[in-house]
Amino acid sequence: MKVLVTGANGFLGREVVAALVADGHEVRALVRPSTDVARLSWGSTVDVARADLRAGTELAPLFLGVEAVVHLATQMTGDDAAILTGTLVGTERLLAAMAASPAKRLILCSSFSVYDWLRVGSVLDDDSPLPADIWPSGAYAAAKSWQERLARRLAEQYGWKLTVLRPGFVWGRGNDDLACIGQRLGRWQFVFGPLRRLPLTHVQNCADAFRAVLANEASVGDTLNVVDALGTTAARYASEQRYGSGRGGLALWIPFWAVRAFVWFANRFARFVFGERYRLPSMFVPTRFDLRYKPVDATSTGLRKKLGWRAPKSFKECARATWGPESETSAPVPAAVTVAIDERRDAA
Amino acid sequence: MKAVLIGAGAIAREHIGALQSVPGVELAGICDLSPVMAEATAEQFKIPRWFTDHKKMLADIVPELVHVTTPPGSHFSLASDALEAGAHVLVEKPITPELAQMETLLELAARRGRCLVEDHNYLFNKPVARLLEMRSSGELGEVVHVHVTFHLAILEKGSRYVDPNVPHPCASGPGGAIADFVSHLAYLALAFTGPSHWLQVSWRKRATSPLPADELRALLDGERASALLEFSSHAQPDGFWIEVHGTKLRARASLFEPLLAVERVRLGARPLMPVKNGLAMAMAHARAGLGGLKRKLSGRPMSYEGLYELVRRNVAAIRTSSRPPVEPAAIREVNRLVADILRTRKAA
Repeated sequence: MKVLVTGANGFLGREVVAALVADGHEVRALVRPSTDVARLSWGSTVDVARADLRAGTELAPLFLGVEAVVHLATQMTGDDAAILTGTLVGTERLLAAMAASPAKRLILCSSFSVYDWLRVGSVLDDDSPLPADIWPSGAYAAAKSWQERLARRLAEQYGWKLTVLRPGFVWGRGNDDLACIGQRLGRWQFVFGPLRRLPLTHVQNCADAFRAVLANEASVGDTLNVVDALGTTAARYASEQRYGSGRGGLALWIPFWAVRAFVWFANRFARFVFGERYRLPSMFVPTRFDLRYKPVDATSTGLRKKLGWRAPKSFKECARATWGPESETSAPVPAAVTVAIDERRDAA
Repeated sequence: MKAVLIGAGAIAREHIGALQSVPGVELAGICDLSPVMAEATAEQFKIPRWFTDHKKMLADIVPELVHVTTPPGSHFSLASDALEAGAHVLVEKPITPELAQMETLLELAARRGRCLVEDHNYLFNKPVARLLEMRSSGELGEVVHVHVTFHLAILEKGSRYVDPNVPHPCASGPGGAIADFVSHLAYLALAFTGPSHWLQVSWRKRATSPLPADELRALLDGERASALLEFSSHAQPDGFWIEVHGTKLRARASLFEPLLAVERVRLGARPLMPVKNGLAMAMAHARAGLGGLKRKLSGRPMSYEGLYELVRRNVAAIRTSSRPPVEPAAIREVNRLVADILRTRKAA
C-alpha cells in the first residue's frame, strides 16, 4: 500500500517510516522543505516529498497514488498561537487535499493530553472522559483535540476509514527527558511519585502500533490509546536513565501527594494574592499537573482486543535501544530518493 | 457596541482580550480564511459567531467597530470593506504597505464620517504615557533627543522571522523582517520629535540569514528634536525601550517591563547628584522587576498593556464622537517616515 506519512522527519515519524517500510509499504515521507534528508538514511523505497503543510506549496500532488495517510505532523515549538495555528491550519490543508484524492484511510496521531485529567480515575483507558472545555489544558492539548474533531468531521463527510491513536509519553534515543518524571534542576532529578507506573510508549513500540493499525482495518472508527506494558515506575525510569545515559546526577524522591499539596497551596495562595485571573507556570495548572504526574494505570485495551497488539519490546530492550550503542536503534535503510513536488506534478 | 475581528492569528488574541475587557463592547464575530482557526478561536474566547467571509460577517452582524489583524497586504481591501459597511476601523500596523492606499483609506473614513485608527499600541503603555505627560507638563523641559531601541533575537533557531519553510509576510518586502518593527520605532520617536525633515539610514547584515538586513539605525531630525531609531537582531538581551533626553531630565521607559527610570537635575551639592540619581534609578528598576512579576502572576496584559488602553480610548472616542486616540495626521506622519526609511533599503 502507498502511504503518505506527515511529520516523517519527527522523533516518532522516522520510526513510523521505518516500521511501514519494513512491513512492505511504499512510503511517501513528507518533510519540511529545509529538512536535511541525507541525515535520515531512509531507503530507496522511501519517496521523500518536501512541503510545509502550514502554507505555500499545493498539496494535491502529494496524494498521487496514495491510499492511506498517517498524519503525525504537529507544531511543537513556538508560543500558544504558533502551536495552534501550525497544527490546525496544517491539518486543515492536508485533509482538504486528501478530500480531493482517492485516499480513504487515515490514521491520526493524537495525544493523552486530550483527556480530562481532573476526572480520570485510577485507570486510563480508551473510554476515559474528555473535558467539556479543553482550553485550560493548554495550546498543545487544544490543538490535538481540534485535530481529532476535524479528522472525525471530514471522515464522516467523505467516508474515510479513520483511526485515532493517542500515545502516552513517547520516549527513545534523543528524547529521554520526560515531563512525567518530575523536575530536573542541574544535577538533581526530582522524581515526583517514585512508585507511579508511567504511561510510557517507546518510540519503536509506538511506531509498531501505527504499523499494526494500518495492517488491519478492525480498528476503523476507533480511538485507541498506545502505551507499553505497565510496570515501569518513575523511580526505575529515572534510575535507568541516570546510569544508562551516563549522565549521572542525583535523584530525590518526593511523594506525589506532597507535590500535589504544594501545587494546591500555590494555587490558593496565588488566587488570594493576585485574584481570580492569576497565572502560574504550566506545572502548577491543575489539569496539566495531573496530565504529567497523576498516578494512573494507562492501558492499550482497545489495541489489544481489536488487533491483538502488544508492545513488541520490553522496557529492558527499549532501554538498551535508547541508551545502548547506536547500532541497536531501528534497522537502517539505504539512501533516499528525493522527488520534488513540482516535478511529480509535471510527471502527472 | 458590537465589534468584530478579521484575522485569527497571534496578535488577534491580544485584540480579543482588549475588546472583551471594555465594558459594553460585545465581540460578536471573528473571521479567518481558515475555518478551523476561526471556529477554534471563537470557541476559545467564547465569541458567538465565526466566519470565513468577512463581507458576510459585516452584513450579518452589522458591527459598529471592526479590528483588522491580518497580514499587511490584505489591510487595504478589508479596511475599505469595513468602512464601506459603515463601521469604525482599527487596523494593525502598518495600516497599508503603500502610502497611496493609506491616503485612500483615510479619505474614505473621512467621507463616511468614521474613525480609522492604526494600532500604535506602545504609545499607550503606562511608562510611555507618563513620559508624554512629563513632556506636556513641562517636567521634561524641552525635548532635545529621543533614542528608541529594539533588540530582538529574530535570527535564533525557531524564530518565525527566519523560518525557511514558511516565509514571514514581511520577508519579501524592503527591509525584510525588520520592516515589521519600523512602525513601532517611528510612532514612538515622532510623538516626541514632531514631523521629521531630515533622515539618514544605515542597514547592515552581520550574519548569514534569509534576511536582507539584520541591523537598522535611522537618525532623524524632527521639528522639535532629533531621534535615533535602532533595531538589532544581535544585541542581547532582548529589550525595547525609549529614552527621552530633555533639558531638565533624562528618562528611560521600557516597553517590555513597567519601567520608567529618571535622572534629573537635582538641587543640592553637585557631587551628590549621581548618587541620588543612582539610588532613584535602582529603586525604579527594582519596582519594575517586581511590578513585572506581579503583572505576570496576576494575569494582566504584559507588553501589550498599551493595546488595551488604546482600544478602551478608541471605544470611548467612538461613543462620544470625539477625537480618536491615534489621529489621521499621526498615521500619515508615521507611515511617511516608515516609507522613507524602507525606501533607503530599496535604494541600497
